[in-house]
Amino acid sequence: MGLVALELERCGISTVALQLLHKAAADVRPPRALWVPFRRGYALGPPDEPAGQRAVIETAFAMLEDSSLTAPALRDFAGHP
Amino acid sequence: MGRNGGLDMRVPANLRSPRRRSQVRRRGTCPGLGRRRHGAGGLPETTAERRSGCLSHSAASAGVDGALISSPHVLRQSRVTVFGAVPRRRGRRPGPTPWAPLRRPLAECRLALVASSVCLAHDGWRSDPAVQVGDPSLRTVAGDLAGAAPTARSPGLSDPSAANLDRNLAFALERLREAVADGRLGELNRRHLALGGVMAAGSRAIRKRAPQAARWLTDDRVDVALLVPT
Repeated sequence: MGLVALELERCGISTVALQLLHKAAADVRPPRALWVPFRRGYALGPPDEPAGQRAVIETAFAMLEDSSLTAPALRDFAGHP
Repeated sequence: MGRNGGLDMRVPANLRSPRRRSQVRRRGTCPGLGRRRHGAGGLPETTAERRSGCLSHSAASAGVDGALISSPHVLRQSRVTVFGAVPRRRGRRPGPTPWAPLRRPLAECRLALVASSVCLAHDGWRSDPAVQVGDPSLRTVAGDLAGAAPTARSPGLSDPSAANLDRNLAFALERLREAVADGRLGELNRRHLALGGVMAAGSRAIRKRAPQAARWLTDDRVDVALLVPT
């Protein structure tokens, strides 16, 4: 995902990549990465929990809108209330 | 930067002893050829000596490119006497990370989803020979699909059943449509992308296909991409 994000950003497309592996995000260094503490296959959290999935997406959107971030930005998902 | 300026100063085994090194300096003995002696300064004096003797010394005195030397002994010597140091092989250094700031409010942006799962618009992936574990192909998924339509399968180490428990885990179209309906997001692109087999295919295959993904999304005037691994 990080490699694709790098290419898209080079073409002027803003990206935010969810990351399941912290080390992968640190190695590839995509421009905006949101590490989510879920197991593989569950990038948006447990199934059939729309509120939790929406919280992940909303956090990703917040990273896109945060103009204070600089590349590479890696943020940890803190969970949803 | 290391003690030697980041360079690998490897000394041949026959020169590791301080006594041996001083012997070589004093007698002008070629360390690789043992008893052969050169003239003053340790350099070969005659043409025959240059031809049959220590090529590393000849190369050093004549300024010959060390790459032409083929003898293993001379190659070992060339590390010290001709080149002095050999750059250490290192992994690829990451370049500067590109950065595309958001050009307009998110409520006016067009978003495309990029998923790293093999996603098909039908349920026949088991019988589709084109879809295999580690398949590095790049696929487009129409944006107007019903939420339950794409069948997602995540090859590699992921839980293959997760995406089929809830399709939004791999392809969060329903959640994104909700964001559009709430006015949080402008619109969704007419097509989305699915890359298969990230872990199994390796970074080389992904690097090869990423420019195609960028071209597709640039043609669609996509502002934002959300990348979801599986």
